[in-house]
Amino acid sequence: MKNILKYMLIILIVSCDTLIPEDLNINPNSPSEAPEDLVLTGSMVGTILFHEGATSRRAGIWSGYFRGTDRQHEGFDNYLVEASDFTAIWNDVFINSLRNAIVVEQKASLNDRSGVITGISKVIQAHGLGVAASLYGDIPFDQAGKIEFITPEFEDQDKVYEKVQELLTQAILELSLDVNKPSNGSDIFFNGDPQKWIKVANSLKARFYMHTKKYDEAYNYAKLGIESPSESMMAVHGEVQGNSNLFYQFFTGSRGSELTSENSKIVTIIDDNSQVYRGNTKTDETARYNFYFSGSGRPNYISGYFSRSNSFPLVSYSENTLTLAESGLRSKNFYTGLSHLNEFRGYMSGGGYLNNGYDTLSLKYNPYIQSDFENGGIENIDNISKEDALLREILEERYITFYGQIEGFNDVRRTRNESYGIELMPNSGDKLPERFLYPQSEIDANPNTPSPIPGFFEPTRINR
Amino acid sequence: MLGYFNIIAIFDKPVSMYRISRLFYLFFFSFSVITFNSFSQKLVSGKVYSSNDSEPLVGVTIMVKGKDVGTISSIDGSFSLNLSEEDDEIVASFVGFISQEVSVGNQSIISIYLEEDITELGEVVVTALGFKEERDKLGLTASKVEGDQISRSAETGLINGMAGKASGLRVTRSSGDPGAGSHIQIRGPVTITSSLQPLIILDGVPIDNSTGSSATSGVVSQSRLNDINPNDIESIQILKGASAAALWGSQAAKGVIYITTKSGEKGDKPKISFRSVYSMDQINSRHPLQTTFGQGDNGSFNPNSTRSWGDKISERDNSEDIVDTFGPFFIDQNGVRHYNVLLKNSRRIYDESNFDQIIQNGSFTENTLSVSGGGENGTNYFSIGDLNQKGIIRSNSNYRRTSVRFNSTRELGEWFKITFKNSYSKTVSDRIRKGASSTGLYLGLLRTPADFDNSGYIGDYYQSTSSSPIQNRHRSYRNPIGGRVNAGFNNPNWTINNQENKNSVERFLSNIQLDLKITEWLSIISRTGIDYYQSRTTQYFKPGTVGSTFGQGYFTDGITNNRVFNTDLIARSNFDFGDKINLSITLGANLNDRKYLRIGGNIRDFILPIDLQDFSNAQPENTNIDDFDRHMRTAATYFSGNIGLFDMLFVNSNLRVESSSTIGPNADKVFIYPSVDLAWQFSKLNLFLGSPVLTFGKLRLAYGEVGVEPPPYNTQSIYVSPNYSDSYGGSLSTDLFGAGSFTPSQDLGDPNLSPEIKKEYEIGTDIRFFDNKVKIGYSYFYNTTDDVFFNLSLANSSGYDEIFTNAGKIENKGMEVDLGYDIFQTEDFKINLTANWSYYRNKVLDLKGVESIRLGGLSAVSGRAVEGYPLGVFWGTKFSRNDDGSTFLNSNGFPTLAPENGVIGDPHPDWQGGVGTTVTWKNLNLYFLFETYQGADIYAGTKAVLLNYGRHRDSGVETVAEKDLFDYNGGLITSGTSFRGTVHDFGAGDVALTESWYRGIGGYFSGVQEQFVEDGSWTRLREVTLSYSLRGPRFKKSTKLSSIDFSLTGRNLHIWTNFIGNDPDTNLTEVSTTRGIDYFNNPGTKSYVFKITLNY
Repeated sequence: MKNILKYMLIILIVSCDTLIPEDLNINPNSPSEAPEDLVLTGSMVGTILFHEGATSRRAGIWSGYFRGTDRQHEGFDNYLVEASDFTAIWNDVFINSLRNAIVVEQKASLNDRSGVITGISKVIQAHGLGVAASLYGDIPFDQAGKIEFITPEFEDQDKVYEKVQELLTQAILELSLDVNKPSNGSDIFFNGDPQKWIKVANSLKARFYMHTKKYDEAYNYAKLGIESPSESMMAVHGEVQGNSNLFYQFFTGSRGSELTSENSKIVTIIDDNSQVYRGNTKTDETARYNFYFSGSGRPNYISGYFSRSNSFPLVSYSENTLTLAESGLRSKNFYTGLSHLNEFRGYMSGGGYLNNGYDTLSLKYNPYIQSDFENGGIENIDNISKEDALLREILEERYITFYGQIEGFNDVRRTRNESYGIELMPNSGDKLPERFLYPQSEIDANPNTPSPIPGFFEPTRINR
Repeated sequence: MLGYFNIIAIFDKPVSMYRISRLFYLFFFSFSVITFNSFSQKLVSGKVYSSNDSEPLVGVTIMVKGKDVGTISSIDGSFSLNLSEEDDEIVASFVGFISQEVSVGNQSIISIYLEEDITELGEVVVTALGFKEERDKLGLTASKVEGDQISRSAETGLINGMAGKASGLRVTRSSGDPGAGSHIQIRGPVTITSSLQPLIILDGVPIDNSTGSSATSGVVSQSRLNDINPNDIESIQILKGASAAALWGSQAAKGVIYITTKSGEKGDKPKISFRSVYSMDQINSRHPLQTTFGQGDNGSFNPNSTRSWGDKISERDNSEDIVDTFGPFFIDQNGVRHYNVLLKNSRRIYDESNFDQIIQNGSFTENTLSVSGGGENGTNYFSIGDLNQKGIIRSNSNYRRTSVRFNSTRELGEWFKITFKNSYSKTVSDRIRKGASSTGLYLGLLRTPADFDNSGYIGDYYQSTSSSPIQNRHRSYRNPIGGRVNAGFNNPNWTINNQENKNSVERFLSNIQLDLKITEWLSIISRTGIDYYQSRTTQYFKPGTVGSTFGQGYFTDGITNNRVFNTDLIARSNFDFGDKINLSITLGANLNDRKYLRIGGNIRDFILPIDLQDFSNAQPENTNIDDFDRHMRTAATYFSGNIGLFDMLFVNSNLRVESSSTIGPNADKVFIYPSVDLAWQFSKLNLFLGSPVLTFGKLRLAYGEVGVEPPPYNTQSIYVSPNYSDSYGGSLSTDLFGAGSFTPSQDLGDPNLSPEIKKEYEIGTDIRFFDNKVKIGYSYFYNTTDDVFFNLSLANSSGYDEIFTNAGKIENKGMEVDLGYDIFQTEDFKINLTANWSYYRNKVLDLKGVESIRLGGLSAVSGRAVEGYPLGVFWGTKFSRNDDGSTFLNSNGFPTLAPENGVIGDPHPDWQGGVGTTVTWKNLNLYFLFETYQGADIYAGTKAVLLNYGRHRDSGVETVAEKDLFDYNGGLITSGTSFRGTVHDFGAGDVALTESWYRGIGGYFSGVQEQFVEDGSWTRLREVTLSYSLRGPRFKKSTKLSSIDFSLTGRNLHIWTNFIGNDPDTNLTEVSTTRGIDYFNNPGTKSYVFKITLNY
């Protein structure tokens, strides 16, 4: 009887299994593979999301670019932040940008396509990781974005910066091979042009040497970087909801009224009604003000900087030129700095990065000369050294140019302890924000997350 | 049989005949190994049926009157009995039915119809396979709700009609919206991220009870179970324990609700019944608002402010407002002009009128006609019903269900019976958006300042008197003259008039059952059912609606098809070995196939800004289409064996061997679900026989294993074309860049995925005293669910967000008590009382080290699974604490925000219970049902926001400082000054809670959510019904009607609770695992119902 039962059971098992076809659980709605070129586009859009989206708005509140006036943004304005506020924006970089770029590289290597496509992927990785390190401090690097490591180890911020530099060096090497370009259209920034990517990579090297205050190297790499506005890496946008400028989408969305530049630091500097307006006989900021703002500082998303299809700078000619100016001043001499600043002013006097008609409004950026920075000069009424006066002017120019960009937050933190730079007053309490918090999701799932997490007002390693 | 194969052939990939024949072979094989001599008897044979539904009754004792000779009816209700010459009467008796004496006379074939014994209700249990068994012989627990209890409650939906009527069953109606779905939970949450809704079996066939997305915004979702007309229900059996449900394997872990629909009564003249119901529904709770202060900030009027921290309204001079008549203006839909206010003078308060523009008394009417009857060889039941409801929201909130049912049985000779059960229903509804959305109803309504009139909500905006109008601008308190395109929050009038969320469902439920009697001891049953529905959902947002997505018009249209096909082939046998041992064996095979298809799309930015609801009204780049396919199948064979020893000890064992399409390729192919239960009727011990106190006593023991089937398509990782959303902002759709994009999904699949297995032990007893006057049932159970699958959070720095895998473990334990007491009983006057009580404890045992899993909810407060805590605890911001656990206070005496979130509350009740009393005097009947739910937390999110906005009553209090006080910002309020706010002591002395506190950590947006977790316990008068039945011979003679029944019912008439603002049953995420969040949820209702039933 026992044997019979056993036999029956076997039949039972076999018969119910055969009624289920094996392919029934193959997902009919989604593929299980895709070529690396399509993944590349995904990682690039992820890059736009990270550098132009919520991260830059959040950084902007803490850089004097924006004020949060309502609901959660009012909290951010008052420095009421907690770990879970950062979950989504951490994903923007580690998943949507970095992970996808790593997948591109892995797939391309597997298919023997090392070259331009892998080089581009490395630039995107370095761009994301470098900026993430600037915001969060210590972050995972070697083990980040790879599913083999489900709890990536965190590495020291200064170490991460070194590795980012190495990654960019390797990227430049691969880009120089000039083979294995991504398929036509899949590279939304430069359509596979390795020369432009090499310049972006060098500009990024310069940016990250600025972060770590290695101004010599910064200058050297910036010299190899972006040389003309057409070489800028810009986030391109269109007229449709899903591809329009993220600032535009934000300001026209249901949270749009929670964020403004009214009563912010930047408005006071370039509003000609302001006591501390920076304009002088050689400088007229009217056009730039109106490009940025409407009224008393409402961000101009109707027709200006944040308008629907306006491109947003990710790594720009402006940034690189101003990096040459600052690092040139700091590592070479006054004249190097001044000449690069005047290069930028020349660019601006032709309209610069303004567009949509704002480049033809009233503006003036006449070149400065040495005496403008000497005692009693128009940029030195408080009688400081001409170097300091020039530095002050360059930092201010950078601050205004980086409106809405994460680099503005990096600059104010980097130069906070120096004598001359943008001085921010805390919105609340007596301390200024020094970093983004590790997100709750990482605390929950990754035991390697530093514990306790560093506080909001604790400077990252490079800014200590 | 042919029909059976035909139905099999409807599969897209037909199951080969070969496989089917193997299944069949199996049955015959299995029976050929057990051979029996069928005993041949003569003289009297026949069948025993339940007169109620004409189902054959198994196990009925048929005795020769006055002798110790008898038999027991077999599987199809048949019996045969040797009678000697002098015997003329036989007695048929069965627990739960009234014994019947039948005189034999010359008949050789007798059909016996046993009437159910009303006083013994609930004593027959419908098992998982739909067979009626004597409860006293079962070791499992099951609660029963009778059909008349459901229809008496006059709820619009079947599910709510069960509330409070059975132990172990938790029914929560999350909103008073017409057609809103309800959360059903049996014995606590046994799984983590899968749905907690039990398996619903209708007449032997599992049907779909899916609910919508349970999102934090949008409209409330429906429960598809409510497509069934509650008036068609004969009874509902709630199979709580694992052993009771084990025969449904991987679909049974959350319990089984077995619904039987009505059949006609055999051999009777047709019964015609017409029932008409009218219900008036009212809002049952309102959020308290302050009307002392107007729109503005820092104590000054500001027409652009989103908040109500403005001036004191009573201090205005009460003249007309001074407005800017030279500036831009707005002419609303009533022709009223609105200008910018320069000086606010009016003291008028609009709270009530703003509210009344939105909320009214709702109502519904329901008419049901049913005809039932039967002839010699069959029965018929036919019903047609129509329910038409208008919600308490004035516009675009309604629900209508029209249903037809036809049930029929036919006997074709002695050995063959065929049963059809068919229904068609059409459900049409329109619902209003709720919750965390600028386009939701309450969000815009409750945030409106007291001094703002919402009545003009749409109209023309003029920049100056000479400019041409901009038409259809949206006016709201944040956009008082319609000057901006984006009105901030929807004016609630806009929400209810310019947005639609329509849904229409047509559903067919069709069953065919063939009963084939092979021999005296063996019958074969083939039971096949199809549940098919098509649902169409459209959403429309008029251009001008708030939000970048909807602002220039938005329209979605989608069609969903859902089909469940289920077939069972069952062999039942029953043997007696003398009168000491009874054995019955059931073998069966089951195939369950579910297919789902959704096709739809949306358009935005209308070309024509008119009410054209068609995809042609947008440019291609603003048109999106979307489709989704799903197909799952399980196949199983099962065995069930019952053995009865000495009519005292009953052992019942089940085994289901199942395979499912959703199991990973690397996991085991089949899973086995065993169960066993034992019932010992200790009252049959000599010790108790004839006891005047103890009438009946039974001890139950049970063990069972059931499962949760993995959802489909989680065994492999996929690529997606992502739409990246920007936190608090818009989104980037990668397919609009370059040549489009596919990237690896951030969620991973697991090829080892296998079902969750729930193992449950149960012990219990059923005892009856004093000739069944007092009945007590008690159960204790303990279960664990292993291999609970969920999206295991990965460190996002790994580049992935989650992997769907078997990783968790959860336990539940609890007790249930059911009590029945016939307090008083005479011919004309009866009082009886039923009560139930249940107590559950749930704990998440293992999450593979994940600190918490988000189950749903708001970003500020979510329901989470956290190791060591009950499932679904509230998770949110807390106060900073010192090392000793006390609240850290800053130098001003205020607490601060802790940087990390944690557990802040538990929405589960400590216990719940229900008490029902029926008082009957002649034809007059009064019924009360109280239900209580104790010790559950609720998160008062609406209150938290309204405090921040200065709208909540508690934020409108004025206080005179008795000493110098600091406010949250460190400002000093000197002694003797009057200020808007209250005095509070956090532990370091008195401080002033003022605007700065509520807009800081004392309100919602940057707030410490811990302080808004409140006691959500309640006790409610769930139902009170007074009914009168006009009947009797004289009445019948004069009216030709057998009766007219009148009844008045009140539902939810009173709720005793500390929670203010909404029905404490409310839940933002509705029918989901995340419970107890109130965040601008649409209001709950109470109802007054009048019913009249004409019975012919």
